[in-house]
Amino acid sequence: MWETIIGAIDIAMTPVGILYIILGVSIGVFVGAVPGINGPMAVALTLPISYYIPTEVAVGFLVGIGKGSFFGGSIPGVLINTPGTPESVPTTWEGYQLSKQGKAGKAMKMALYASVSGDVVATLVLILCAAPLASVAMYMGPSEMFALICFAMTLIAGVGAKSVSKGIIAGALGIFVATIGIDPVTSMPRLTFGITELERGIPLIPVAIGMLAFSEIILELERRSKTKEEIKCIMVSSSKENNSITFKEYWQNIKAIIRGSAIGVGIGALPGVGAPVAAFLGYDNAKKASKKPEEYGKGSLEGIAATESANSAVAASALIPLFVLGVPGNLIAALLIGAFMMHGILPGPLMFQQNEQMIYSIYFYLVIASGLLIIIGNIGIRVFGKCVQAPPKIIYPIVLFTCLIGSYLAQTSTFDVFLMVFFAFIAYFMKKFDFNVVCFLIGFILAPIWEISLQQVISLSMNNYTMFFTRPVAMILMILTFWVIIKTIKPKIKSI
Amino acid sequence: MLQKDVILYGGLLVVSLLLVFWLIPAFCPPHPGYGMPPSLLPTVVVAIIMVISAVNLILTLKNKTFKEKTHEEGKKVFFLNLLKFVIPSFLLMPAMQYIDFIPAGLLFMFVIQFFAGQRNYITMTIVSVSVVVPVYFLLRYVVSVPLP
Repeated sequence: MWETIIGAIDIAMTPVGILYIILGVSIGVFVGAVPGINGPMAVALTLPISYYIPTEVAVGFLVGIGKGSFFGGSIPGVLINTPGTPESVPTTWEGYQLSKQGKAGKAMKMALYASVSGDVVATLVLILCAAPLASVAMYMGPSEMFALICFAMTLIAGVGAKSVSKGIIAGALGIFVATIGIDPVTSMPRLTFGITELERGIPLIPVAIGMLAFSEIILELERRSKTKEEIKCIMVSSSKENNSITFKEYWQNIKAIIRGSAIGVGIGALPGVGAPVAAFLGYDNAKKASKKPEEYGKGSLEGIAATESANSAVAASALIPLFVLGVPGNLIAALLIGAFMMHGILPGPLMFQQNEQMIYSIYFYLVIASGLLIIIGNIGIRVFGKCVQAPPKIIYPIVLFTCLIGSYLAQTSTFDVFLMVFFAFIAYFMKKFDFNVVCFLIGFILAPIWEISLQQVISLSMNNYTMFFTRPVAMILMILTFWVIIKTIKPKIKSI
Repeated sequence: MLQKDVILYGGLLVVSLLLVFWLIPAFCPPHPGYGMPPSLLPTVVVAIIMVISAVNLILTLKNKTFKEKTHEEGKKVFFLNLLKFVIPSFLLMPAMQYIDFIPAGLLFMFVIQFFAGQRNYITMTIVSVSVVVPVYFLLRYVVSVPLP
């Protein structure tokens, strides 16, 4: 085992690899700091780069973006009272109050140290738990996999979406789109409508870029053209005391950080729940447990510590279900499935047998990314603080052009660019009508695995569709699925 | 419920019916006699959409609250604004094939910046050139991919 670990570190310890991680974390902090751009959007945009670099470097680079963006999102929240990402909303409540007291630097430093703490805890949990859990998951057959994906998708639709019915419709639409292409059994075109380019299926990159980045930028431009809001930035004080966190201050908030990290790890390990839920739970929990709850809302460092540790812990813990079961914990983890598949690797328990060295290389990069976040964050707080004032009239057209080139670059196909614009168009309407694009994307990404599991079950059971209820684990998961559905639609039925 | 929900669920219901009864059977290969029929999964997921849409449509009509039309600013569809960005994006790749990468890219950046509200032509030129030209050299000489 130690030979594998040393071998993995040896492979990972390359200047190019480390450079990509530095780049990933820096891009992450940058995109987090610019309001309107977020981590999943940047991951979708940089996904085509994965084609040109080794798998472990690609995963480290993309997770680095996620880690950086969780911290970066707190910068505009503290400086301009506008959260850069949804998960940094509670940080904004406290951070902006501290900024008004001339303590913007202190608030950002606390956000940084809490982010890194939460991230380190989650990375350790991932390293320690993923392999043993994967060895248990190895006993899961196709019927359990099918039932698990059903459960995960219901959970995502139930918890992640505003309306359960709209969440289920979005997920079903994602699955339907994923069925376009070559049918796995007959190897004949299915639902291609005579279009030759659709025979290879609909690739993830144009769909992800269109739905996450392109449509969001159009909506942001629309929103800004209607509000004409001006960015009023609070400058960081020059006093050293107001710009730093002492060890004593950090230690005073250690309980909030530990609680926040634990909540983040737990939430991240659940499929599809995501960082915003972790951030709000972490904040709420810290407020209830605090000795000084009256300070909340007036600039509490404890509130920032709890929120940031909770949301940053999600970045690494969302990889636990991905590595163990092949089911993503959040949107960034879902996009990572695409990066793995580009390299011919199917995420799941088999990775620990077939690509053990690669897994340890990824762990190594995750640890390096956590260390780099503290360095890049410390050096770059002032620099990235300037990013919050970046004019959208300049930034957004550049992002739109990058979306188009990124979609083309993945497979050098003009058709992919048309697909990207088409899915951006669809996502625009989905967002306007409150359909969750995350449900769509997760349905789209998981559909091939889901269909293969179903195929295997049906073939093995000689077309016996009740096989899910004859195996105990599959049956429990199916019951849980129905329970989640009933639990979420019950209040709606009662209200009628 | 809003009035737009009636249109939304009604539209979804019509599209699902078209898919289930016409498009899916017409564009799916026949069942080879073993395993799962190729049309099963698309039919099941579209049927789910159909059922949910039908239920929501009935509930909306039954409650008769759909007349309460609310104007949520963020939920209003601005077609013109959407087309301003979608049409140039659709035209970028064909334009690159006809007039080459750099001129088409510069033109696209100019148009998009204009639609984004930029009116300073010097800034527009600097931004366009500093984005399109490095991307061209990156694709052509670093990544070495065939250009559109």
